[in-house]
Amino acid sequence: MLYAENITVTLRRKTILRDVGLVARPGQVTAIIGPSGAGKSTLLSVMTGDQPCTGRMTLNGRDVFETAPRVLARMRAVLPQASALAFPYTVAEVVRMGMVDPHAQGDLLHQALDRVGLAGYEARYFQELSGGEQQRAHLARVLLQVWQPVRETGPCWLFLDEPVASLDIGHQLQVMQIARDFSDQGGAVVMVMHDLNLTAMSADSVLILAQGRALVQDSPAKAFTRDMLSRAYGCNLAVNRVPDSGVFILPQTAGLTPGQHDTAQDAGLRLHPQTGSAMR
Amino acid sequence: MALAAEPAPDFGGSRATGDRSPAARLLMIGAALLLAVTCLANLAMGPAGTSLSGALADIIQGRELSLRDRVVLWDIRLPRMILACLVGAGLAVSGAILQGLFRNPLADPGIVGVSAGASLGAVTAIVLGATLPFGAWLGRWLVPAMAFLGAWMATLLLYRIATRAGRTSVATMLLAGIALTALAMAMTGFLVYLADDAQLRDVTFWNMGSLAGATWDKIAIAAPLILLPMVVAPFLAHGLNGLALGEAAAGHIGIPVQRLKRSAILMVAMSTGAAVAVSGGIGFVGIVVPHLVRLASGPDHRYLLPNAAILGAALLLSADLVSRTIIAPAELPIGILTAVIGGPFFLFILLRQRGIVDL
Repeated sequence: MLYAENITVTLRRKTILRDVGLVARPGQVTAIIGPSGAGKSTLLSVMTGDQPCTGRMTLNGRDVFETAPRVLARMRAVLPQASALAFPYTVAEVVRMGMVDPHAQGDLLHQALDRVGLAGYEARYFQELSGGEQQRAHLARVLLQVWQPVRETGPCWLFLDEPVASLDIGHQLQVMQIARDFSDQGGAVVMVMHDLNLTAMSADSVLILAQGRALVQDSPAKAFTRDMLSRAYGCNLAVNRVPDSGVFILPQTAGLTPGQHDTAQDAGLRLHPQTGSAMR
Repeated sequence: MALAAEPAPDFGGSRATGDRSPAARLLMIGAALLLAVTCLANLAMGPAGTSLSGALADIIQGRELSLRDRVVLWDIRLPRMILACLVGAGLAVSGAILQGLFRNPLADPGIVGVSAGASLGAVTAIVLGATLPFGAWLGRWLVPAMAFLGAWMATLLLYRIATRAGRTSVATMLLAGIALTALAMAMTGFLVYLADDAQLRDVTFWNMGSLAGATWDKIAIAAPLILLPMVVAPFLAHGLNGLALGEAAAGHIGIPVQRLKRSAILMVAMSTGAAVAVSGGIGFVGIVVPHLVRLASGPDHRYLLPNAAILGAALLLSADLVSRTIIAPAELPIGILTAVIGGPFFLFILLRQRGIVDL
């Protein structure tokens, strides 16, 4: 279990997160959504032990700030947002850096690359890959780190910071399936998402953040209400329902909430695209 | 240059797997052979005309070596060969560690102020000499001792400046290094202004670097300071690889990043300080050698560090051989030679590589 309680982060006298709480369970995909600047990535870095904060944060019953990096590394893996790699490493060398368990059996490198659709990319230079391919290569590294979703010591955790941000729709679905499979096998997934529909499709639980505060944590079907989403994103979003399979948000049906008219032209442009993911 | 003679790396069947460790192991064998050859060449050749094979034949047949041969081989060529190995390996490994730490292939002890600190220490010793406390007591050890002290003080100061709340900022360190270098050079300049003609000559030659003063005492002092980092380096390799992902990601795969940074800095200060103290300003080894190794067999530090050590030693031995034979019986300062060969060669590599892969 992951418990975060009363998490407050203040940077340069600006409060990024205020009294945020989150519960995430093994066997589930937990998503964190909210507009840009809401504090999603900051909350994720609190959970991975990178961001000092006040409040309480435990992972599998351990205080992450008191746990050695080596121990944490065998318990959870973190996929960062796109980051530059120093030196010309090959894809195989990068992915193998995720092999924190020296006793791992079998040809896991190839299985991991295969899993993210990069079979045969072993000898390519990482820097030669496109942004989306680099993102998936990092995902392979991260998967290799927690290849067994459940270890004798407890469930493993995947923390993903916008895992589908630079991917095409086919690979977006593939990555969501990987997260789904990981949680179905007993692991836990916590991810920061921008795409509301992909979140509605694959998350078991969703935390909506806005301006550093948690608005709600619940299943997408319950958390994604017209009122809640409109409050979080500052525009009037209509939530639609598909029989038997949850909710979706069609940007074409969105309107602006009062008070946003001064930026109407700007916002109007942003609401036109065909997919919900463009609604940042 | 040492590696120019090496064949292009043959990835063989490993190309498809992206595993370059076979190439790296091949390079290690090649470099070790090269090192052995250069060691022998440095023992065998020199302006004195003593022949190594003749001396060996004498030893094997139980004859007494002539005093002259014994002095040339045992007191001049052998300590000089060992010192060249130590300094070459020390500088190359320091360069490789710093580059991994700064995630930048252009990092070098010369950039982060270590060399400038050493230079300030040495020039202080040359110019102020016996007026310093302990100056008369240290005698001829004063210059190397002050150079080592200068390197250490520069490094520790830099580390203090760049560390806040237990975290060391690598970017701050790089920038502060440039500022410290400028400051140290200004103070050196002031001392040079005070110096008399004989001291000016000493300062100039110290800055050009030389292995001519190699003695067994110098080796006894420098060897532990250079060899300890060599022994520790393999333990840093995994961490330096992870650091290529960025500091946060390195932490996520279980690397104790702060401890890694602290050990790496200490090792570099120790090794560079000792190398510069006994040989003066020998440039380019720390930047060219690791770069060559990366080109040949990739940036994996588990192979990069030992290969850089071996090739650095071989490279400096070759340079020293040239420096003491090219204008024999006079001697060309080795720092000039490494810069003359290293500079254009490095530019050539940069230009060729530009645009293919982001260094």
